[in-house]
Amino acid sequence: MAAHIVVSDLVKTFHTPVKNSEKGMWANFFRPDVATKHAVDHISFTVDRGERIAFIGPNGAGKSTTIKMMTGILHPTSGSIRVAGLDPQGDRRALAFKIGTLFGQRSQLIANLPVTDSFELFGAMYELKPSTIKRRTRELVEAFELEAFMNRPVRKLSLGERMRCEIATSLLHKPEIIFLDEPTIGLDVVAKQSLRKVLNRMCADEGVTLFLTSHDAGDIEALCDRTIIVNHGKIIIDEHTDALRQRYFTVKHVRAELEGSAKGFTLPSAKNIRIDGNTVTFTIDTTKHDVNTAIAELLKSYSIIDLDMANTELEEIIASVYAAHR
Amino acid sequence: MKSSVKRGPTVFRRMMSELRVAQCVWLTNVRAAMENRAAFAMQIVGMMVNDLSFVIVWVLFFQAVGTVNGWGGWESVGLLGFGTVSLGLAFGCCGGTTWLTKYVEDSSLDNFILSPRNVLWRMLTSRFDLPAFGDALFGAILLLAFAIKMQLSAWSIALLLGCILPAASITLSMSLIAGCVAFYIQDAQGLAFSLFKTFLTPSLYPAGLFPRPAKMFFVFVLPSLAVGGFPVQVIEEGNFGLFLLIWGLAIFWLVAGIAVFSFSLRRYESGNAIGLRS
Repeated sequence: MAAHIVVSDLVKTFHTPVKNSEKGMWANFFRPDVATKHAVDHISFTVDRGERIAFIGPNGAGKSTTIKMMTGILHPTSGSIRVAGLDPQGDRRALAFKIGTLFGQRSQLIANLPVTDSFELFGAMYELKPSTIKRRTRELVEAFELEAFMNRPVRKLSLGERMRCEIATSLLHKPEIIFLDEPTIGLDVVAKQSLRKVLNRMCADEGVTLFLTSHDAGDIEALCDRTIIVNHGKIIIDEHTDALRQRYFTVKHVRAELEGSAKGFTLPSAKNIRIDGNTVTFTIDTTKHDVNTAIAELLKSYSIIDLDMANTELEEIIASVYAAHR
Repeated sequence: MKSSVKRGPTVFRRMMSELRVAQCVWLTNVRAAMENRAAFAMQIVGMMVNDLSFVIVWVLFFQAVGTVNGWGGWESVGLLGFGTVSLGLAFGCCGGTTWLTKYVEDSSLDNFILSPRNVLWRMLTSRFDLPAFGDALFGAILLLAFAIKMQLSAWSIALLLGCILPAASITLSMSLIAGCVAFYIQDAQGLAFSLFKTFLTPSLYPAGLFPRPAKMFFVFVLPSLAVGGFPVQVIEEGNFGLFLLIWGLAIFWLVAGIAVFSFSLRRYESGNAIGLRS
């Protein structure tokens, strides 16, 4: 399968003046010290057509800078990018027809006017015929369930409603690739689930390549089949989301409700034991102990009313990866 | 030769396409402004009252001192007519220029870079400045009064109309260049406004008040006199050379404005500010 996005040895460096307290006010003003920050530091990766990528990392890791270079907003210091076969800086206009973008913190809709007006304006901008705009708007209204608020001014929409409209707008011209930067930022649980559902459906129906940054592990689990983790401008992990989960699922979380009091509970393979009345929670390190043996020991030693076992949440995995590469 | 034959229609098609989108944006802007009709009307009236105070000051001044180097009250009416109509047209059609510093600072320039349009044109037409409509309307009334009072011939009226577009273009170019400081300096809104005022203020003073060196400065360094003073002279003296000079300056500064913006855009450092387009 041909690579839809190719990023090679990409670097972005920012230079910012910094105050030096040992220098005087005038020296700081006229000859300030300059700090160099490598926001993106020699990163390379490829994305196949139709892949769904989570591009994640802690704040300041270089995610947004990378997306902004891939979409033509920023110019790389060095390295090369091809998105849908185009150079984002040299072929900015042609690329704009092939990509859709959403930066969660920023709106592209017109605040004072109904959502329909933004759709019409974007349709004209992408040189769509009025009949095509109407048809595509109908499709998106249905897919994103926008019917109830299409005629409401954008400034009167809830954040969840606005975000759905934002994404629908960026899909108006049927882009091949969609870049979503924090699409669920600030949304409540219901709005997040609703957005993920429609995004999944749209990606499946239209076969778009998805490139997503998010701080929400739920977005990654629900939407992305591959995860790239960056920190300090470098890629530290690039693998399938399932593989990532399995590689880091070395701890099982167990919660057992005992028939009698759990006071004095012990189990050789259990760690991080917490007791609350007749309920006990603990973890089993699967690299040191066999889970089946541990559970058999538990059932042999105690009379159990209820038993739950869960893997580590993806969020915890990501947090531990960030911590390990701090 | 072969490529220019191919290129011509493409450039024309692209221009027409950009104009169609601009028309759509302008109509959208009008609809958005109409959502706040009261504010829209009040800003227009407020700007007309502001402009009227300028006219009153100059008329009273020339009533008191008589003419200065051939400039009297009615020349000042013409001068202010050109000044306000060019401001009104520049910021009415391309009001985005006054927002450039803000666009750079809060990174909303991203929206224009991501659109499949010319970034500069898209940015310029992104908004209109509401009070600019008051300027344009008031300027048109002043120019009409000036034309009637001076009993202008058809040729002079043609020259008058021919001076409006370059005057508006110079005003727009200077505002654009001033706004580009935001690419180099943080928190540049105040500085950009001051730089633009440095150009604008002399354009609202009668050209007869300037000594020769100052006149040269305000033509060839800052083209302030080409906006108001020279157009009045063109009409009164029928000076076609001066008319061509105004057009020459307009083209030069338009090209300079586009070049400065295009060069500066490479320095754009988009951040992650949170905001809503309005």
